[in-house]
Amino acid sequence: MLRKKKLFFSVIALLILSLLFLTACGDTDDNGNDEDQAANGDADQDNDEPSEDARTEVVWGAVQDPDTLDPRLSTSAYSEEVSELIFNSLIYPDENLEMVFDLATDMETPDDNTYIFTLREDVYWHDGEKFTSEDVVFTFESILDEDFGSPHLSRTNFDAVEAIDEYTVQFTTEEPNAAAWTSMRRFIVPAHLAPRDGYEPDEGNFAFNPVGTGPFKLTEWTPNDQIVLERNEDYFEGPVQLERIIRREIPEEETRYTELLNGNIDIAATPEREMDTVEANDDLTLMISGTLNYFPIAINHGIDDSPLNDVRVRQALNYGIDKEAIVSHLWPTAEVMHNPIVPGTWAYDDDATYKYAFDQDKAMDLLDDAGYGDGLEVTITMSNAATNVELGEMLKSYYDQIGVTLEVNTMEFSSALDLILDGDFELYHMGSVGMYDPHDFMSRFINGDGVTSYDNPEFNQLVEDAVKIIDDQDARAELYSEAQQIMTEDAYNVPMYNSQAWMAWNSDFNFNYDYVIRSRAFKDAYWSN
Amino acid sequence: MHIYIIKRLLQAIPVILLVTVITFSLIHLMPGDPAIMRAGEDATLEQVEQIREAMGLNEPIPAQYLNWMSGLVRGDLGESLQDGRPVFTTLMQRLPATLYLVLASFVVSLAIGIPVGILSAVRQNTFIDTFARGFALLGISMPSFWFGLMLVLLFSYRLQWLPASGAGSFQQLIMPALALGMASAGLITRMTRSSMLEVLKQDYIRTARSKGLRAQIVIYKHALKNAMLPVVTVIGLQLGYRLGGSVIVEQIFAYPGIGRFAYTRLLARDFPMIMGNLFIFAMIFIIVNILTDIVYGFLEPRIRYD
Amino acid sequence: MTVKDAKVSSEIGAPIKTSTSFRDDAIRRFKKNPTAIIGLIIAIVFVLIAIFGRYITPHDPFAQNIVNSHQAPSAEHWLGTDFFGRDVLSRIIVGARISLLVGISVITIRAAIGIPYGLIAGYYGGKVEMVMMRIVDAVISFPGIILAMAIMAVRGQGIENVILALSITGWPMFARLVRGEAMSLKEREYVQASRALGYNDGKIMFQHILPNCLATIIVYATMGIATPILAEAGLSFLGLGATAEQATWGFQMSIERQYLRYAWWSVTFPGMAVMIVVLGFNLLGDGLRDVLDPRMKE
Repeated sequence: MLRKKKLFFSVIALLILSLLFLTACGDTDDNGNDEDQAANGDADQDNDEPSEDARTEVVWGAVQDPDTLDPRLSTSAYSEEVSELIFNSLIYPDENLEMVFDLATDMETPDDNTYIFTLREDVYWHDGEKFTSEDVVFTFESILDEDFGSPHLSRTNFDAVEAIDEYTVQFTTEEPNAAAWTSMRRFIVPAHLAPRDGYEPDEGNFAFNPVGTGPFKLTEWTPNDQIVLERNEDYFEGPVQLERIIRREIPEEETRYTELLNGNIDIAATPEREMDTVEANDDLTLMISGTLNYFPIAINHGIDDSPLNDVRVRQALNYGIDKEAIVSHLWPTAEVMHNPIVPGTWAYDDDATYKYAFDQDKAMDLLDDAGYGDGLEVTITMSNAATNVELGEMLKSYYDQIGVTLEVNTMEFSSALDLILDGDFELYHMGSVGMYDPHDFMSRFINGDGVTSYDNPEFNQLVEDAVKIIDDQDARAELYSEAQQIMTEDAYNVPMYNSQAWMAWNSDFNFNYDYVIRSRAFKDAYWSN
Repeated sequence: MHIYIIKRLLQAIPVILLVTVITFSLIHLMPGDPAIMRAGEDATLEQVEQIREAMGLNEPIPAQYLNWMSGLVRGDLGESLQDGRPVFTTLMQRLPATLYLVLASFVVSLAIGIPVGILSAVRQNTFIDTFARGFALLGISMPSFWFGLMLVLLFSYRLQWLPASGAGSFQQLIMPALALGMASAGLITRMTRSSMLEVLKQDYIRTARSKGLRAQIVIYKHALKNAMLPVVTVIGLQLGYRLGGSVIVEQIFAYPGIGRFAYTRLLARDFPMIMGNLFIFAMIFIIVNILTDIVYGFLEPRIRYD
Repeated sequence: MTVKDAKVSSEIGAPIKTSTSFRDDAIRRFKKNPTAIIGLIIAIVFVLIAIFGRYITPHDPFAQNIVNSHQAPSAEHWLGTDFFGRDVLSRIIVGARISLLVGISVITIRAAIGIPYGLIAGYYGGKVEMVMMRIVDAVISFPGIILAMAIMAVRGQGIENVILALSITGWPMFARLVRGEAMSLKEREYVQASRALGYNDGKIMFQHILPNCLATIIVYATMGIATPILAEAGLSFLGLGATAEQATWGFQMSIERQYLRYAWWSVTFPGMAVMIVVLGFNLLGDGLRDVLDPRMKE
């Protein structure tokens, strides 16, 4: 009997050990020799010539499916990265955030309120119909129509659009608006196919079978599985080199990365903590790019009798955490930010920005002054992404040290968004992405209109004045400097970080990733062999 | 028998009705809605309201339920609020992959469970018995996502033998089927063992043995046939568990089935799609269980029909 | 009395309360069953850990020290450290409390609803049973984890909601089990006799029928403790489980899984804790069945 028991135990132990061993072994070669490989990591990017029998198909491992491919109805980044290949816009920002033309060939501004675009005349829809000003007017009119329900409406900075002739379109604003052009960057849909009632469902609906003017046509979309795009042979810039893009949804990061390493997919975003390993891998090319993404811990200014209405409390929340430590631990590629304008862009003013250094004594003094020396309870609302949960744990531990009890409330994204948009939160953490003009950021904090209800008369005035200055960037920048000083000294929220975007791909694939260009880079991509 | 089948089908009607009520009320209690998801994090409340209006989410809940039910009676599950596609078509597109996976997982658990169960019954109370039962339990004891990730790490990342994602080829099916099937191998082992033990004690088996028939023949020809009966019923009940388990397994292996789809659309608050999905799951379960009952009725005419 | 005699002669669900010889017999057989004893030991050890967890952790399970992030197992940290430099062993020890709490409370609630429900349905039969069992059928027809997911989406993350969701999805199995037993027991002579003697229904159900299903219920419940622990891990993986403050094993695993490739210990050890507990309760349940169910007697 005794022997039997022992045997049983040792067999179980053996099984467990073998499992352990199998997972444990070999992890030394992952982290071991980074240094000697890092040098030749990005050496082999330039074997340019596409050879005769090179591959013409690329498999792209994506995180999530687009919500819809009617670009008028989506603000999702996953939707945009596909729409970019199927549709075109009148204009795009280039890597320097300057405006470049796409479906337009020219833009005139006879006065501060008028923008006249001349359109290309050689553009055809994927179904063979000709592209005209009617399509442009149709697209923007539906966005401007409240009943259509486009999420782009509140991000639209002009008031009317009309066709002057078949290839000329005119946009007008009621007041001069320096940021108007950024909202003219929208994908144009065909007037003869796209529905005027956006949510009207039917079997072959446009959102699911989009027809555009872009370099690729959608040929297959299996929801939450894969999207197949085929080359548009009649593309107005001439057919691109790639024949086919297969975009597969692989939600689990671990699986996606493994598939990239095994060559089952050719391109994907790799885990943020694997940058060094990917860099050192000769089979992969990694490109990291700066972004305009702003991730704050936002403060609600709209709650009556809230301690958060006291500037000293808000400052204490800023002083109380070691932002450098948090950001470098959770987002190793990201940079700490101090206001919503990304450092390095023209509107950012480092001298005007008040930067809250990590100083818990000061934080406690401020709380004492404000009458919260005995402690304070604050709740933060976030989605339940793993890094958010981790952020919550770190914040909680820092705030505990200054006597602030942080309740971390993580939940599904949609539930969190519901609370945030209803103003039912004290602090929240969520990112703002895809904004090209400083006004896009700053206008979220004026007149109490934004989600955070921040309302500072002096600040409101500056931001409203700045956007009316057309054609004088320096004068605008001056007003934004003042605004940055006011908002940071007022501790309008707890700015956290500016993220990076990155992509890794098979080194034989010639691709040029960039945060602004993004998936449009597939247009010029090709295989070396 | 016919009366029994008809009775079973009639019983299913109130169940289905209850299923729709549960489904509908759960979904309308959820915080968040597709309009909010569409609007994004910097939207104004006014704008969310406009999108809600355009999506038709502002109708009163009872009216929405009646709408949905009247569609259902006509066999129409409505359209997705996310991409506008018909719910039924979309779900039917994804269902086969999951059924295939579930089938493969049954193969895995039966292929492990039955031989191990027999072995352990025949060699009752020996070391082999203890070992076999321990081994079978190991499968039950692992959280499936952990086991799945371990498989990816071992067979795809380290050994590079198997693709870690997708569907279509046999290789792509191996790991998901293992991850889903291992958990129930233990259950099948246990069932096989205990029913085998019971059968082996029956007089006719003893008689056969005493007549000098070879042990293997006795086991395979006589005992096994009778011991399989309870295993058959378990398969029907297991189906629900497998469909649920497919959520996690499909998520890890990016397997394009209905489980992962249900999860994704739950997060996106695609109400008609979630309702349709839950409804289809429940229907499959109800139908399969009626079928198992009928099959069982044929195999074992002694059972009471009530 | 006839009632007592009938009980002793009943073959299903032995009357464990009245027969001392059966109890002695059961204990003797339990002692001879090595797997059951292993299961019992595992269960007791983990229950003790759950009770005394906070006093026996070698390190503070919540003190973050990011300099120590993801240290491999060493003499200082036997099972290594997690992403925040916290001792994995200490976290497993405090996690035991919440994970076992989930397992035990879910089973208790399931039983508390399912047993009376099944008794009533099985005992009264007819229309009452018809209506009651259709509700059970409706709940069972949803895959458990998917129904739990939907409930979690409604209620939000947190251990209370996990317990609620898993209880709601699991009670019908108890109801079915007890109903089946009750149906066959109510035909027995001793029950019929109690009826004839004019005992009220409640008394018959709880004093005469229930004790005779207890063996089955105990076996089922013991094995059942394991399932909510696994289900909670699954929900945590989907982001619909415990919160950071209630760091269950499932939560620890699902957060640390992003580091699995280079810090296997912070995922694997909580996973093994789950494995051992689930294994323990299953072995115990197996053993109890062999002991309590006379049909399995050799």
